[in-house]
Amino acid sequence: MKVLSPARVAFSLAMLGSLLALALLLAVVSGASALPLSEVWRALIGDDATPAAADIVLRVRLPRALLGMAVGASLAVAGVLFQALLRNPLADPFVLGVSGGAALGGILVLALGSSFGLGYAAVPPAAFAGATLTTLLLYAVAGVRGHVSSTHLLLTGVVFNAFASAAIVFLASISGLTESSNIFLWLIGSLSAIRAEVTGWVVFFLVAGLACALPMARGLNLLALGEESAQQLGIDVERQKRLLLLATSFMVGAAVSVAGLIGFVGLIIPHLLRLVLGPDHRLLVPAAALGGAVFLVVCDTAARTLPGGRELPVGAITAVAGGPLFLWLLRRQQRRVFAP
Amino acid sequence: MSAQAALCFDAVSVKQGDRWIVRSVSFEIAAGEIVALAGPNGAGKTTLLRVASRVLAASEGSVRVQGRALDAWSRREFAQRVAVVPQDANIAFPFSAAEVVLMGRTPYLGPMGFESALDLEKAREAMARVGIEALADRSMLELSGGERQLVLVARALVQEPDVLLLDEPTAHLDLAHRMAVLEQVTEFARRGGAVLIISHDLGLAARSCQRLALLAGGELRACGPPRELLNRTILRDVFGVDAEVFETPDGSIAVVARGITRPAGSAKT
Repeated sequence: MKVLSPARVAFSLAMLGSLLALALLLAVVSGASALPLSEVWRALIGDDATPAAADIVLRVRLPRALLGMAVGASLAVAGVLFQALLRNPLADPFVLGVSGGAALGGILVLALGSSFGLGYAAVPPAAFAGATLTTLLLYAVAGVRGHVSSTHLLLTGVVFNAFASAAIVFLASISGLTESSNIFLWLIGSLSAIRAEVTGWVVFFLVAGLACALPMARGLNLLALGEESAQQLGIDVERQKRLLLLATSFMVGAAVSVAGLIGFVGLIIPHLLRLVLGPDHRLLVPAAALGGAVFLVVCDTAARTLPGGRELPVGAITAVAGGPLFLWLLRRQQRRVFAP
Repeated sequence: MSAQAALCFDAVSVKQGDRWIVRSVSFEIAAGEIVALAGPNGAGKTTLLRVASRVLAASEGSVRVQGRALDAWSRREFAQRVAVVPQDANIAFPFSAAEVVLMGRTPYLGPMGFESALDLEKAREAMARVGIEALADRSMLELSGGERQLVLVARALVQEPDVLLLDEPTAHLDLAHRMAVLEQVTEFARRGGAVLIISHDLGLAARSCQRLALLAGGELRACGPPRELLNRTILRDVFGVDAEVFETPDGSIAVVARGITRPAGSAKT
């Protein structure tokens, strides 16, 4: 009888932690300007590196890698939580349109905020509001008496995404944002515009979200059998749902505020981890945080070191990987539903 | 009504919209007793079971478990007393049978809850009792409907409840699995547990239950020993069918429907 033990959790997380350390190392040594490993190391430990090297490593590569970690972890954990709460492995903040809602909230402030005296600091709260409202909308449209239909959910997400993108482009063009700030990067998702003032939000809500989700991990397992079953085993399902949907909205809102619409991280990482580690959320939730961090840091390193010297937005890479996976998962789910 | 009853329905009514799904139903189940709940589709059987398991609130009346109103129990305490075997489990993720059985230990664990060696032992024992040890590491998604049902029975047993509520637990089962489930239910009652079992199989109800409660149109039409209730008049009244009741040489009862005496659904009026 194979059952999750604390030892297995510790081992799996240690492995993922080592992967993350490797990904970070890769991120700080690779880049447009070739720095020898020894130089990078000296910069990292504060041992007299050349000022140029110290600048590149400590002010450019490291902050960007740390931001990538936090954004990747937030999106992957949000994916796991959405999937557990909606009982659907296809749920992902991007696919569901929650990221789109957050982006729309953020753009609203960027486009119209200056007339009300709102600066960039108002973007994250607006993004949280956008994400939360979208989540509520999803439940209202797709949920009937606690049962959320897969088809309705995904259709609502697709339609809402199309709406949000159009609204973002519209808002950006009427307010002249298309030229000044990089709307394109927001729509496709990128880590290149690091805003120190909002990076802290991402880390804060990631930690808060994990602190919320980890004690409820067992309850998330029970939800797999349905809300009534979980309730009959003593779980306060409504409270759990409210708390975690809120936590998820905040994590997504913060991630979108800094990095725009990076898609499919919340789909790819939970899916891969479930294949390797099993579906138990006591392991899956922390593993998704580490796995999402590794994934986005590696993707972003690839995005900025592509041959030809031109940088690609990281969202393009995650979407190229995630799109086909999504279709494959959808096909598999249909087969399961319609199998004789 | 005695305070000692393991499960007691006291004038329970449930209203959804303008419609009464269940109307003033009262009966009780003593420790060690098995009561079958039967009636036509839409009679309110599952609604009644959902009220008893606290996922649906009664609009009027109350349900008591061991003399205490449902609200008086904490969620955790309640889950240690009352376990439910649902009609079928469609599970969202590929949890193994053993993992699902262990979910039954939730009311005894802390929130991060890793199971102890004792919990694992109890799960193993429950799986052995319903004969599914071999399925322990198989994914629930790969199991047949009948196998999944047995996993859910094992999960309910491992919850170590005093009251067991089953919603058509044998609907998807072949004869052997049906017997296996009934044997476990009987054994559970023999050890002092109270059982409420929804079933469309009146012969089965007659064989394994002390009492039969017949529900139609949300109202309790009759409640008593199956042998007394299973006759032409009552079957016509409750199910709207013309049926004959046979007794086999070994004392089992078989109900054979010959024809419909009124259109299905009119019993609800």
